Amino acid sequence: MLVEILYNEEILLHYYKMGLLWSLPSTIEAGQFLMFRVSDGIDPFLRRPFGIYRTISIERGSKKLGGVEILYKVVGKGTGLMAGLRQGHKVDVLGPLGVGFSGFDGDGKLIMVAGGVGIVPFYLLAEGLANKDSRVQLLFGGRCKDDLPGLLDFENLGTEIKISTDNGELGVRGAVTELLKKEVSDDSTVYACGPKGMLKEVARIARERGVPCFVSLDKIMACGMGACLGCAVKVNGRKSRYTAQNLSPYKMVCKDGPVFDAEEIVWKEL
Amino acid sequence: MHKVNNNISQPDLTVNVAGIKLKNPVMTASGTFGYGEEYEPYLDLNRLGGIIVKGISMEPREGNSPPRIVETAAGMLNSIGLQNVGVEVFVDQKLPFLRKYDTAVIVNFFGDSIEEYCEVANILGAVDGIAGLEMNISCPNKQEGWLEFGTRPDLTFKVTNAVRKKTDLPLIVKLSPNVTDISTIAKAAEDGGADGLSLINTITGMAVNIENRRPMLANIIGGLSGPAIKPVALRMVWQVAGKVSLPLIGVGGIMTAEDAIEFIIAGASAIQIGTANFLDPSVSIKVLSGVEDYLIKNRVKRIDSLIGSLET
Ligand SMILES: Cc1cc2nc3c(=O)[nH]c(=O)nc-3n(C[C@H](O)[C@H](O)[C@H](O)COP(=O)(O)OP(=O)(O)OC[C@H]3O[C@@H](n4cnc5c(N)ncnc54)[C@H](O)[C@@H]3O)c2cc1C
Ligand SMILES: Cc1cc2nc3c(=O)[nH]c(=O)nc-3n(C[C@H](O)[C@H](O)[C@H](O)COP(=O)(O)O)c2cc1C
Ligand code: FES
Repeated sequence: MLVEILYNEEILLHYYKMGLLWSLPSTIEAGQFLMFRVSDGIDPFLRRPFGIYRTISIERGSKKLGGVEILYKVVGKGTGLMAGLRQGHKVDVLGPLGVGFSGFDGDGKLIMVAGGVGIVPFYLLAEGLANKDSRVQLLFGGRCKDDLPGLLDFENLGTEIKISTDNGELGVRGAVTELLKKEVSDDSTVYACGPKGMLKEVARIARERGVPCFVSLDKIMACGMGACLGCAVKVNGRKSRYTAQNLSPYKMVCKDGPVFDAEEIVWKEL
Repeated sequence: MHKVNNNISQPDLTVNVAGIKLKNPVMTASGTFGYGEEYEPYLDLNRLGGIIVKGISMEPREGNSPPRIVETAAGMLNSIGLQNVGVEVFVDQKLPFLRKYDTAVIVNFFGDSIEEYCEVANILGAVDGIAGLEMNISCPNKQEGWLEFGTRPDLTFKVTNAVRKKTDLPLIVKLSPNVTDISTIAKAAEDGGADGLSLINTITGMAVNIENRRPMLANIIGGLSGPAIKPVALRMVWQVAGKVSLPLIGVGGIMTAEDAIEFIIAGASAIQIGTANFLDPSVSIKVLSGVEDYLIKNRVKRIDSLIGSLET
């Protein structure tokens, strides 16, 4: 689907927000993503996956139109080209795709653990829970204070936030998982998105404390819709032999995820 | 404005490939279109000439360890490892969906022994809703030191001949490009009793991560697909067209109608779109319209007359 770029702004060094004129179904789940075709040609070749940060609405003349905002970090060729795209330009997107976060039923405390650009799936969640009675907490970690994209948005929502930075510039010095160790309690549900090492440690802490934990995984994707079987992740609890009766030992991050129950993932093979 | 002759405005797109009547020559390639259902939200499956499903084996296969894919210049490498649900689940759970469409369903299949190929072909031959079989011979043979069937003429002949005796369905043999002389293999498949040939499968390749000096794919080697392989595929279609009298199905790097037409001119009766589906899930319909436009513009009444029309 071709959609118009409403804005594409650098919010922090290497971090951008892009607004797209694209009305999505209202049923979108936090953690779902879209597949973005960076080039009309073949370089870069594959589409790139990006989480949906939030939905927006704009006025055009007398009309109110819906849109979505993505928040991305420039890490390579594709995102580098994206940073140069201008307002008014049309881009090809597919989505919303995948299965988002849904394990928290409103009881106890929801702890969202984000590392850097891993903040993306949490805005929709925090927004949805902002005026409810639920206890929600964001633990946000980055390398430095400029590695905490979207922080202001969460402050504006009034989300309870605890910050960690590697250099101690903002919040506590150290890893965000150290914050989790302090904040987690028996009635917590943990949601996490960020680098692989962080997710592993979050899953370990949650298991140790016996609390539910859901993670959003990042795998290189080609189709984004479960057709190519390229984004496989090994899951637990399957019989050793895959037969017509026994389920496959692999799930697809694009279709079965990107959000998984942390207990399901074979972490040593991720 | 001068009006174009109305008779030519609707060119005849039907082709007969290996005894399968296709309403048009545009199909989707095995492994790039799932079991059809994944793409249903993005295009009208009824418009396709054919759908070739993900390769099926006797038992389900779990496939290779990840990472399984990596992007390369003008293409990608994959080492999915033939993950599939197995013939039983395919017939019970995937085929009913495909039967709803007025589009030829061609089932890609494989085995690691001649017996397994025969068993799968035998089962598929007994169910409704299958227009033909596409036999993937780029699969290691456990009786021959895991050498791929499709890399040796004698093995290609043997497996084709054995499967031929097990099924009355149209049998298309899908050739591997990872050989020194593709036309010898094509001839062996013809002699073995194939009704048609698809070419090409992916070309083996690899990519290295220079930061950690590790291969990009867990399997180290993968199959290259996408525009990068189109010239090779086209060359092979041309070579094989001169060597066998079977209908050919061209596949490899097709992204546009122009690409598809090149294959048809070089000798393909039909074409398959693979990796391009990942970039644009409705690309096959665009290719189809483009082919139609080309025929109209060039006043070609029947696509048949374009097949193998290369002037040399
Ligand atoms: C479900 C999902 C949701 C995502 N959501 C977001 C998001 O909201 N915002 C965002 O900024 N990014 C997100 N990503 C990651 C994003 O897709 C990659 O950063 C992007 O594809 C990189 O493209 P590139 O061409 O710039 O990098 P490339 O040129 O392809 O690669 C450059 C370097 O970037 C790194 N890289 C490449 N691909 C990935 C990847 N998939 N994940 C992590 N690192 C990668 C590698 O280290 C590589 O060497 C998401 C990924 C997934 C799977
Ligand atoms: C992810 C992926 C999976 C594939 N799986 C199969 C398969 O199961 N059986 C098969 O015969 N070919 C398989 N192929 C090969 C394609 O059908 C096709 O021959 C090849 O990709 C070249 O065409 P393309 O460049 O248009 O993709 C696969 C290709 C890709 C990219
Ligand atoms: S990206 Fe193709 S199956 Fe997930």
